[in-house]
Amino acid sequence: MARNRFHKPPAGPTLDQQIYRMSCVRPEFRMTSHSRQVSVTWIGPIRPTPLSDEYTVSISLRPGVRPVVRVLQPSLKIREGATCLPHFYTHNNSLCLHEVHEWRKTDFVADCIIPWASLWLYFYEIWSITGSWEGGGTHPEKPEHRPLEEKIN
Amino acid sequence: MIGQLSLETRRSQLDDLLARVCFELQLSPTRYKEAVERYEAVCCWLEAEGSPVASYIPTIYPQGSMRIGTTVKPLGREEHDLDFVCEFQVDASTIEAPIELLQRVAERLNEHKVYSELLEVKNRCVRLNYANEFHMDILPACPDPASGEDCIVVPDRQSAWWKPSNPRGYAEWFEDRCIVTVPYQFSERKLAMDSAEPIPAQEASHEKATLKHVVQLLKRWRDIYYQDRSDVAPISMVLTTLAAMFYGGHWSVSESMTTILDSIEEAISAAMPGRIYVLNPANSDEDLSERWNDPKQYAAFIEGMKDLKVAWNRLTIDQTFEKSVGILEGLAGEPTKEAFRKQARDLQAARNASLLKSRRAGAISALSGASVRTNTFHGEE
Repeated sequence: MARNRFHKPPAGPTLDQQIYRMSCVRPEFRMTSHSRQVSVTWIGPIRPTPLSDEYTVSISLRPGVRPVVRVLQPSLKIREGATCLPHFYTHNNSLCLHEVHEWRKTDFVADCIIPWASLWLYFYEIWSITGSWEGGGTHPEKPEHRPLEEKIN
Repeated sequence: MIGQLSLETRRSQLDDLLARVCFELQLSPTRYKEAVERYEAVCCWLEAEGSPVASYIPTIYPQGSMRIGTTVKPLGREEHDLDFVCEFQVDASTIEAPIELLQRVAERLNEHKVYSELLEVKNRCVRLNYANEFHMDILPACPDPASGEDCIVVPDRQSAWWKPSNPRGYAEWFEDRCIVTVPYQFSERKLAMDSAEPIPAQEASHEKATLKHVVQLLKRWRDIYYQDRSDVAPISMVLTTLAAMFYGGHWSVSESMTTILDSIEEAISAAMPGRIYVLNPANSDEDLSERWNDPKQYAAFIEGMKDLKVAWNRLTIDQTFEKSVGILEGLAGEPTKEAFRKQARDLQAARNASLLKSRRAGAISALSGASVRTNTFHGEE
């Protein structure tokens, strides 16, 4: 189809729209810093499952850049025998939640990032007690990214 | 295998984990099939031509946990202990002593190349040790038609004489007690009122197994709690009967465990200063709890029940993740972590099938909430 010069590609939500969506869908998250058109940070609770801990998480968003998710409390721990946390950026202590193309500029933090962070935390807890990363992902060759072998019954 | 993955409430998540723990503890389907084939083969050998006991028309059938589906792997080893009855169609009074029948069975098994290597003659049964699989204990028995249809007599440990037994009657009673009268759909609907979609009913087999799971968990706890003083550990038959007596027909394992522990505690208080009596439901003349005539044994039971109740209550109320894992490990031991891992594996399968939803505070759900788009955890090399 020929491109209509009046048709603009979807621009994606503005920061204000992100903030509005967040306040509607995730009212438990509060905005802690906001500089208009530049960046926004929310802090809120994530509890992946009823047996899981409740984590306080900060999410920072700048247009055009992947959202940065950090766990503030309780602090994440590297389990004994491992050298690092699975799927974790050590340079800024944030979670590696997705591949670059999976975060599209039409996406909302409230709808994607929070469920992804919740899944990460769930699989982190299972990893912390079993040493087995069950959540899949890239770089499966790393020991921290591997599930344990299936037991043969 | 375990039914709907339900992470809606602490209780439903716990129930899912407990079912997985029980799955790890029980005889695997493969082993079960092997056990059936093995005891049928033993029976064939006993009734084959040339066998000194062939004229007694032997039949072998499982009894105890193998029969009622409450097997629990022993602590620290892989082999299950499975109990069987070998019933001979002969009047017990025509046999001088039970040991005689036992000897004849042993002699016959000794004539077999394979069985002779596996055979161990015990006080009142013969045991076939299948290394890395299971131990088959075969108890010789004679019918006891005067006492009732399925009644038999088996060798008694103490008197070296016969004693009445009724494993088939007991199993029938237990299966009756297993019926779920408070099914999943009705009780859980209230808890998940905010759910827009109907809550799927659990599979019938899963519902039926609730009491069996409770029994498995009690037996496992017993093995761990009394591991350094097994002489005072309550016997499986007593724990099984108590659980079945007090089971209220609820579908939830954790809820049922709470009810059963409460009822046992009440029964203990009501019987004070005496003890509670656990009679065999298939033969009310038999006091299954006769060991409790020894005050030391009864005191150990009361102490154990008290500690179990405290731990159980802590598990069912809100806790940190680490503490919950620790409590469950204290009760069920090593299969705990495997249960968490399998739960995660099923959740990952649901995620790959795009079935996951997200609710308040990022709670993951397989039932209700906003759909979660697929992502790939990325990471540093």
